[in-house]
Amino acid sequence: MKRNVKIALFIFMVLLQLTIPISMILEHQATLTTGQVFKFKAAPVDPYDPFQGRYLSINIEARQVKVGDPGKYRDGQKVYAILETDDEGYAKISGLSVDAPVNSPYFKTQIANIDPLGTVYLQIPFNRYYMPEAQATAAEKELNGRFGENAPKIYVNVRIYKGNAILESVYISGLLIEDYLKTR
Amino acid sequence: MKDRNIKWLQDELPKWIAKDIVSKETAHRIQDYYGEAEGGSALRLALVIFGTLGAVLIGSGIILVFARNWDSFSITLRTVLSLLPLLLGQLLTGWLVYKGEESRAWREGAAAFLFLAVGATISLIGQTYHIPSDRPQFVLVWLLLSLPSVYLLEAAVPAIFYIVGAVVWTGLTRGTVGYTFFYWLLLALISPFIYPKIKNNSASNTSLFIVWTLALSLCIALGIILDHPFPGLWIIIYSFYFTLLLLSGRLYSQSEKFSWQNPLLVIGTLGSLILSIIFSYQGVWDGIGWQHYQQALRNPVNTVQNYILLGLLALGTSWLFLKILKRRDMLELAFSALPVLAISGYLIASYKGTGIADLIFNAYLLILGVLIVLRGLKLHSLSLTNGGMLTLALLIILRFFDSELGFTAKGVAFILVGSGFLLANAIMVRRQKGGIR
Repeated sequence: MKRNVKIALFIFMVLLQLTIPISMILEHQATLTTGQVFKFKAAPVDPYDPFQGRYLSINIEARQVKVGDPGKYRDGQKVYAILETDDEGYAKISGLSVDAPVNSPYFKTQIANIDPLGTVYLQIPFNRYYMPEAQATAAEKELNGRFGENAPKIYVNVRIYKGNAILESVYISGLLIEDYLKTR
Repeated sequence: MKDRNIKWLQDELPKWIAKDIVSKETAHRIQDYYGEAEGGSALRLALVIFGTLGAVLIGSGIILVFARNWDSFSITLRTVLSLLPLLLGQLLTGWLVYKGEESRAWREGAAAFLFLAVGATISLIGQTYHIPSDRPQFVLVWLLLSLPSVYLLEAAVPAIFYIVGAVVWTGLTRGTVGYTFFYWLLLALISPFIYPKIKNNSASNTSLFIVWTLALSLCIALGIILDHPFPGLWIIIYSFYFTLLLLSGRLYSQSEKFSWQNPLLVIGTLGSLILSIIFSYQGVWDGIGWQHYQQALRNPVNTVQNYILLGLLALGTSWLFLKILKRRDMLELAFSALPVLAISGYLIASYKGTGIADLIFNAYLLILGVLIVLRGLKLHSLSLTNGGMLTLALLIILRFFDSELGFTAKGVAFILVGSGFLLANAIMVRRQKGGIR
């Protein structure tokens, strides 16, 4: 390959390699700064992702919605989940839409599965909270041993902006998870 | 060309360039044409290996250092740090491209580092914003973004990473019912790098590494990609694949021997033998053929891909077979029979069910084993003889395990197989000693 061609290819590669991470950063930064905050009730579990290190896997409770016409949807379909806030201040999914809704808040996701009675289960695009390994393990120990009456209330704050959702923080018994772990 | 001559040429070329006898470009082309010397380049190879290893370790080290203090950084700092490995890799690559770096160790090391840095950067940004990873998409983006460095630095290590990555992507995509045929496009993107390397000097270490990776990864990819509407189509496709490798290994490799230098022959032969052993079981032939055609839940593009693949493999194998036919080599012909037997077995099994096809393959293995032993004895090759004996022993042992014979009968069979081994080896060793005298 000629040197000029190589230099041109090099510049092309650098631009390409920078465009993707930077556009990821910009998109998510915009959501974090301008997005509307929603509270979701949750319960954590802690797996290990070989690519990305330790994280807390969050089990969002509001992941299903009843629809009148289940035949319209199929597994894996890309949809928009429309959100509303209940009396206690927690977010819940109030409906589905194939096109981006205009007036109500929503996030983009995929259908995980549909049961024949018309309940659609969604994949939740904000079900991971990355933590340093030691903290994630501590959180897991703290949360896994406690069920029923003893179980602490967990909810997460999610920022939503133009269909893009980002998990901002996790709260346990009203405290930020990082602070909660310090009190133990 | 002999290694000694290539080494001489490599020593001379820089002098020629200095004296303006040939241009740098021409010198490169001459070097590419003759390839690299195999022997004596151990030091250079070690440099390449350690250079690459060093780069990989440094890359991982940087990420670990970040990880240790990650939670105490602000989001902005995390974002900047995420981009750091990528920028480092790009700077290094840019510097090497600008200098027109010759050193293999530098090029391979930098390219390997950049490859890992791309993955690390995307991962780290994903962590910063708690984005759940979409694995197939992550791997695909990683591969495509890293690909140019293979061409820029003419580096084989990232090319090998890429080939492996392509299979990983295919596997992940299969899990989500995606378009697995993109695997071929991914391979097509790397082929302008691979093809000249193999064509010009198929005996160089670089080419051998690439061929090993490619042949093994294809072997895995075939299993993932095949989306057979006719259950059991894999039986025919894999038979063609391994026979194709085996015949190409015999016809086109610089070393006709069964060794590291001839990956196609090794993978082809072992693959054919293992397949035959699998085919000698009755269960394989159960429930296959068009009575069991499954139309539902198919990705139509992936299905068409099966037929194209089958056609190409059949054409390629037949063409090689016509070439090998002229050599009238019993062992080669016996191995070439695998796809024919597989197709016959498939047809029989779909009409008549199990019981015949597996019997055919038991007989086939027996014949192959005997032919390999005979060839080993003829060539005075201890390893070939033992390979044949191993095939026979495996066949006998497996069949005896299946059978309902008593322990005594099984025991006697094992003793006979063991004695056979010892006897054959004793004869061979005696013969070889006789030869030396």
